[in-house]
Amino acid sequence: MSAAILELRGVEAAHGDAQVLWGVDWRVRPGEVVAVVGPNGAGKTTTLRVVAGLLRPLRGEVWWDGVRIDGLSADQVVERGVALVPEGRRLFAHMTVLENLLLGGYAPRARQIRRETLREVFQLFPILEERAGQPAGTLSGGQQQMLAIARALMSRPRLLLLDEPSLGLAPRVVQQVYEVVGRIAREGVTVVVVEQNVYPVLQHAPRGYLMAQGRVVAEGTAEELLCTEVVQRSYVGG
Amino acid sequence: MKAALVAAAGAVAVVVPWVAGEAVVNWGLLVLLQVVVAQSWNLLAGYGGQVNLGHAAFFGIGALVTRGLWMQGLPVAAALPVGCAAAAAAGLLVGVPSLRLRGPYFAIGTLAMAEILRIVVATALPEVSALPAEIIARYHLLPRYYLVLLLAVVATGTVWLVGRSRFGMGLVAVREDEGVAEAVGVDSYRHKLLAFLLSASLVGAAGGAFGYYHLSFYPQFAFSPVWTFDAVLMVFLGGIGTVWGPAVGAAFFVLLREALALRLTELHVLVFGTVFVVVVLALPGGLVDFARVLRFRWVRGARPG
Amino acid sequence: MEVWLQNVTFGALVGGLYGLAAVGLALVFGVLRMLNVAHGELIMLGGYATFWLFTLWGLDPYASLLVAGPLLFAVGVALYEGLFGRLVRLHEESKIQLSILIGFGLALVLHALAILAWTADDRAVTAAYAGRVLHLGPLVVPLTRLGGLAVAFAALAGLHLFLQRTDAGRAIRATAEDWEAAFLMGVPVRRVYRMAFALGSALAGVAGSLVAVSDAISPAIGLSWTLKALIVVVLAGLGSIFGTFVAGVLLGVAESAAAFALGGVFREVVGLVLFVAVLTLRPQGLFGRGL
Repeated sequence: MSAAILELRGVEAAHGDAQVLWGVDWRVRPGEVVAVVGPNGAGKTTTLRVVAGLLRPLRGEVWWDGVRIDGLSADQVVERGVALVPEGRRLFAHMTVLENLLLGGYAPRARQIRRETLREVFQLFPILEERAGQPAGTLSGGQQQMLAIARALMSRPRLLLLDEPSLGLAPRVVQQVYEVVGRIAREGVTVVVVEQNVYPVLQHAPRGYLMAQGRVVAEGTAEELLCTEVVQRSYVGG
Repeated sequence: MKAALVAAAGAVAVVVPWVAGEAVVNWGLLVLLQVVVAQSWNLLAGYGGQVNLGHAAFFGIGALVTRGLWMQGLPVAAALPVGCAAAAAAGLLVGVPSLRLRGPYFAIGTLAMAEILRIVVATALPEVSALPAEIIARYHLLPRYYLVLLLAVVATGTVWLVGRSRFGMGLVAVREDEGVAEAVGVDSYRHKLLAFLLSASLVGAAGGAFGYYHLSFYPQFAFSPVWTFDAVLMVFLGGIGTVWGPAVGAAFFVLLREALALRLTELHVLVFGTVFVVVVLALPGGLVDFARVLRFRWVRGARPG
Repeated sequence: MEVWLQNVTFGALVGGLYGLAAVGLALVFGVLRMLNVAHGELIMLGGYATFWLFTLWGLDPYASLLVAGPLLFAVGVALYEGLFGRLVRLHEESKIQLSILIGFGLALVLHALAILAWTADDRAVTAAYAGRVLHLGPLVVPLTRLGGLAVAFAALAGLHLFLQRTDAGRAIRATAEDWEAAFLMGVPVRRVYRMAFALGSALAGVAGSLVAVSDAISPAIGLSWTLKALIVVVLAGLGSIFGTFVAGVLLGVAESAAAFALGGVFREVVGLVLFVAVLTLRPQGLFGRGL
């Protein structure tokens, strides 16, 4: 296996007093698109938050591009080229589309070429340019997801983390979202996508992890994961 | 150990008037009065988790009603309970709407209401309330001292009892997490209201004692936010949410104030403010806890290795 | 009729200052979710800065704004690093509660220091133009109060532009709305908190300068200005600088009207009554998104 650009080694983490992650191991190669699936409460979102620097792990290490990042704060992690599109998007609803995008490019490294990045982003998401002056909260669900992704792209990430991008969206819109994700991946960005089940990511993520109860319980191709999932679910009873 | 200390302090408190001069008795009375004001605030804030910044209002009501009735001829044994009841009634009036507000809004809301009351009193009764000559002729400090001592015992005893009761446990549960408390069947509003009424009654009694004790004062002084702020300082200094913290804090507070005020009037405020901030940031348990922490460290240090 | 109009105008002029005093408090609360009840003491310090600059070096009070503002900005940074910054990691309920307590202790300390340093006496800045008035039709408008309103308005307009048009301003607004999301954008949230607190203090300093010119200052004014600011913040709700300014003017007018119609004592009471009423009946304030 060639060198991993993102590596999690035995990551354990807690929410307050309750431990949620019990030793998570990930290895992601540069340019890969990896899916992370599993039921609610499996710790997928928590793991992303640890990578993004919002949560400090109790034990374990997070390595990105040869550097340990588990002790860094979220803004420092962004500066190193890691961007998280959080669950529920967390847009600044009262601010305009343009303001959200400008904020996405706040980190110093990204701010220098922000104007150019904005142009690229508008090319990728023309609808956002149309609605640049509107408050972000007035966009439709699908448009908001596009904005959330676009906002993350403004920081010129080399690792893009997506937390349940399909949540609450109609299947056709989900397809559109994943088309965009595919295009981003083709640019060479490493992508990790968290979803509750692997269906939406099937076409785009050749490989993935299945997580449950704070651990990685299975790893394999998308098809293999699908089978494991089906087995798991029938075992547990739906 | 603690019981011995308490017994000793109690013995001292009872015996003081027989052995010490009037100045010391007076000082002791003020300390004991502050103990009642502090304990009553501690009940609601320490056990109930509600920061009532309008505490002085109930002190003032107790003071005005008691003094008014007593000066009209009603014996103080009757006037004081009426004053206490008036404070409780006011507590109901203020508590019912304000306890529906969340933490900080409750704090500033009660402060505002107390200020309104103070301004109204200042306007309606701008003149000094002075005891007439015939009452001064019959004035004795001792009964007043023992009255306040009794109230201090009652107040501390109430806090102690509440701490051990089912009501107290429910109250602490509400303080820790109202949502969880409700989920296990604790009526949080009722608990808070009852604590509020208890607190108001106790400080109203203190106010009544103050009205009985003081020779002359401006009515609005009994409603001054200083009474509240001093209580806050004393409780935190001594240890919020404990039985003895407020008593220790009150003694410390009055002692230090007397000592420092001799040098520079504002110095004691400066010291207290600083210590208060330090306590809030670093020593949430107050002096009571500090002694325990110190003893713990000392004991650990004494062991070899 | 004219007397009434004069009265209302005066109230509006005073109210502009209330609005300025409130915006600093609202900024800190909106961004840090902390209630700095020592805000009035910061206003008091700003007033003293202007007073001493005028008394010792004859600096015109409107010029001393340029000193008082930055001075209180620095004080704000120090207070954040020393005190309030230690609370940022706590969760919401404890954070607000503890900030009130810390602010309370801080207010006591600042009050005591002021008395020890400068005595409890009233001080006033009597510039050459202090007594001058402007005649606008039937109205007689004191020049200093008009100047105060103009400065307040300019300061708030400046703040508005800063928040809307600059990166730092946008970062502040984003942090106020959702600090975790802002963090994920690469916004250095702790630095934003410090900036917001310092800005709030600077605004208090400017308000204090204006108070020194049109009113007397003393160490005791802290508490009443904190209450005024609190009343206006609750009246207005959060989210709009302009709304806070208008709420301040409304309070000023209400106070003047109450004093005129009902008597002097009602000046203070009406504000407090409005405060309690809004808290219980419309907690989100008249213009805002809610505290």
